[in-house]
Amino acid sequence: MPIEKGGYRAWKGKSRGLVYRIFSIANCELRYRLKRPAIIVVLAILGLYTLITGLVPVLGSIFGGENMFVYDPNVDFNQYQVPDVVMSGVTISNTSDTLKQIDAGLELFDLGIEPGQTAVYQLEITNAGTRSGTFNVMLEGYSGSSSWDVRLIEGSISFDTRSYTQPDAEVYENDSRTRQFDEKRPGSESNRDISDNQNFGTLTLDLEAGSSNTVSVKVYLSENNIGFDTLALSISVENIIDWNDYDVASPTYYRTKLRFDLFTNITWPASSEKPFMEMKLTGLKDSSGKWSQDRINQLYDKPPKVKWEDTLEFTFSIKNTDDETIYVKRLLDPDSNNYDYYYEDDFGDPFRSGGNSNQEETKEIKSGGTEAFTVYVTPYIGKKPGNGYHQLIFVASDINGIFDEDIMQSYQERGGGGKNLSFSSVPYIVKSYHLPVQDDTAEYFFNTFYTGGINIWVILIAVLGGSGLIADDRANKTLPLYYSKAIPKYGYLAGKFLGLASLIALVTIVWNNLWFTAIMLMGGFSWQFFTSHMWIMGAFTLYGLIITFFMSALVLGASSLAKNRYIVGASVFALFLISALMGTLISVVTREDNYLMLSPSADFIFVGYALFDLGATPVDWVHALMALAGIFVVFIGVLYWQLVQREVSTE
Amino acid sequence: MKRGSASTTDKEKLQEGIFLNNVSKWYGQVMGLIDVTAFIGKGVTGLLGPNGAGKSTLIKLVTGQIRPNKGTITAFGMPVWNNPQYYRMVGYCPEFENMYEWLTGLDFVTYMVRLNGYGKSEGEKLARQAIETVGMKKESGRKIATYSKGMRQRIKLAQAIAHKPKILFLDEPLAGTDPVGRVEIINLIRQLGDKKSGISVVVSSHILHEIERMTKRVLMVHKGRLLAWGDMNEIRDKLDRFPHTLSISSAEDRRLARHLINMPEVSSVKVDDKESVLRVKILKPDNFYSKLPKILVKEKISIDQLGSLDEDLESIFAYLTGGVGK
Repeated sequence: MPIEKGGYRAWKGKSRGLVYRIFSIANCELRYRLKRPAIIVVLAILGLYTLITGLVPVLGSIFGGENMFVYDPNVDFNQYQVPDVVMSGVTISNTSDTLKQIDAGLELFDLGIEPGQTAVYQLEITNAGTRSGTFNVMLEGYSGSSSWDVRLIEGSISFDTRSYTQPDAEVYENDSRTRQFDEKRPGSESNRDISDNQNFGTLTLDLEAGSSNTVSVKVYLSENNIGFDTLALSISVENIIDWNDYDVASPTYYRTKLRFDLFTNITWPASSEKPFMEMKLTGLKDSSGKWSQDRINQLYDKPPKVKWEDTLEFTFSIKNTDDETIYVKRLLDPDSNNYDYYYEDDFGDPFRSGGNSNQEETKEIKSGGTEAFTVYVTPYIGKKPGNGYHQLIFVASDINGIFDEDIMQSYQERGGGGKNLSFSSVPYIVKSYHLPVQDDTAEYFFNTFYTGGINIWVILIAVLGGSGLIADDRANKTLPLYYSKAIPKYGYLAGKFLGLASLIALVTIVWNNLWFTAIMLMGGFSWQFFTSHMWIMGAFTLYGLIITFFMSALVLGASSLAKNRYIVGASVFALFLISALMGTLISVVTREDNYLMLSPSADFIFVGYALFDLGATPVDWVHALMALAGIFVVFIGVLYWQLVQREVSTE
Repeated sequence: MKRGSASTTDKEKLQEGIFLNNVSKWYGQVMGLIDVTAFIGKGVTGLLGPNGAGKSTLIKLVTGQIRPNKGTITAFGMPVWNNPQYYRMVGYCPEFENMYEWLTGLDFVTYMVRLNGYGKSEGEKLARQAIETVGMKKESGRKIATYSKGMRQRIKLAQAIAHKPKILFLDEPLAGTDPVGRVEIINLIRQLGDKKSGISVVVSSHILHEIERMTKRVLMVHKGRLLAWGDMNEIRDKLDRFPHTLSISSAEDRRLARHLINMPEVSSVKVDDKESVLRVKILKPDNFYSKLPKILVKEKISIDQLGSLDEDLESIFAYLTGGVGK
């Protein structure tokens, strides 16, 4: 082919702008290097990554797995079978207790029974949903301690079948269905011991939408073998879901639960050896007046029933039996709730502030000295969490103002960190809705897609795709080729950066958002849920950008310092590994969390927690972001020096 | 022959070429180029000198790869350092042989063309044209890893000319090529440097007669200094009187030796069994190079490599400067 005449003049003016040429480098890097085996590996990793992060949950949701991963609070459960339970009556022998109703429309009863009493609890179960459904009715017994012989002597549950519409329902004698919970324990003449949270049995009940049925539970409490702590029964009603009927991914089941305590007391363990602190209950009074010492002493043997909304005033004396001055304060373990429960109404802190028992107050007790503490306790039914047991703990420390877990633990090892006043609320009903709350949606996606920070996939892809970008050019001496083209030196750098960043962004931004959308659309979530969680896509994008920029600068910077891509890759991995080890080690040794910032992967976790709104982290996310930005600037500086400022062609 | 000084200060002329004004470049304690003043205009300019003379340093300087420690370089009236506007006019064929081995020749040239701002289709079109020009059309779909040394040279040349530069720098473009390929590339360079094309071509080599077949205008560099620049004919006579030693590698070296020894231009032939090469001492290299291909074709002898020994070129420069070899 003949040489065209005119040379440069023949094409002058056709060339496009600098930005276009920078994009050309990026484009060419991706386009032409895609033929390299390393990129095939990258794509394989991407595929595997996709399979793990995206496909499995999507398939799971398509085929109706029960292990769905996010909770969709926007689903209107009322359109399904929603059990509603109302206590419609209670009969307790030898008592005149009456039904009480207090705030929030919650029906509450003084349901407690004394030893020797029998109670029959009637509950009306209604299908409040719009579909007919099947419900499990479960009777469970609870006791706070298994060390005491507390037994349900007799319990039964029966269905009133007069309005029972199930066609093939068995009809029992007297038109009722009864099941006795009288199973004997193996090797025992006693009825089942409920002191260790026993499930007494489950009955199945079919209900049309809007229809109701009645359940009766009869309980007799033996006069014998009464121990401390609380004896409680609960009746739980939950729907049984046919997954194929549901167009939402999340509801595993929907439960309404009534829990009522049969017996309540104060637990005050007998004094044990306390080498540094001796604690005594010196006084107790309630609305009936001051308790006699004899009555107080009976706490250990025969705890009395406590009336609700009656304030009790406890007086303790604490003696310092240690050689050093100790500091004592009251801590409150506010609740023992199960966090997977939502309560229709909650209950207040039974330990009301008052006197010198404020939680914030710390008392100094010199060696051999004694101090008095007064605590007001009101079994109060309010608006705060209050189900279960409350513990009043006095803790001591020999360092004023420091009552962290480690110190408490060390005191425990020395013979006890205080004494617990276990205190149950009065007999009450808690109506709870048990929903399949698992990981927070954002947390799920953060942990799945980033495995709690920058994930190994991103590092792998960045290393495989980027470690040779500059190192190869240096090794092959192809830099002069680039530098003789119509781009400035920083254009070469920008092009390489853009090429690698595009590859990383493909995973961190494009792929993740794509799979998030796929999961949302194919996973059976409501549109409302999808739109209300679209901010996660923004978090993906922003977080992905931070990772993309950081990793691009890091890998390219390392690549500009070596001529061997394998050394570059190993160095990047080593950087992450060693920094994580160092950060953890130093922070453990110095007990200073800020050293965790030495690890970029930890910094990414802290920043990610902020972006995905996952709560507090040991290190402030702004500081973590600044640490990442600092590393980024250093590596950009390295790149500038190696590729723009330095005469690379002299190598 | 004129020695290293600017022959003109005519501004118009400076706008049409590259002007080095008292340029020095050193690498630490090592002097790469010392106080060079020269002008490179249109047509083909040969850059001649033994290995380590400073040829590559000079090319890196005028292509803007490195900065002079002293002096100034302007090209077409513009500075050359970090100047994309100038790079747009430059075609550069570097000395090294390594390239992206995993790319095909076409992809490599297209990639390089696109760095100059061409789109995908336009870049590929220009790449194909350039590849055809250097005679690599058939092999352009193969990976560079499979190319011979000569093929690599051609592909490098293709990427240098594909975007139709105004000035072309070819650093040892004939290194490793076979005799036939040499002729083709030499002809190509002569075409590129034709006055009608308007392209300036700077070719570096340490083989005198290859340069002479491309151009009569040379810059001779030795030990970092510009030894001479001007018409090759002026030094031609001196060189013809000086014996050159070539190394020729062939599978039939002994048969080839018998034919070579009969040539009047050949004063001696030595068979180096250890390195499997012939060491041929010649006079009047021009005549020798024109006769050699005919002998090879007639006797059906193929050769693998033909090269000039560095020490001979050193001797020539010594000869030219009135030193030992004279």
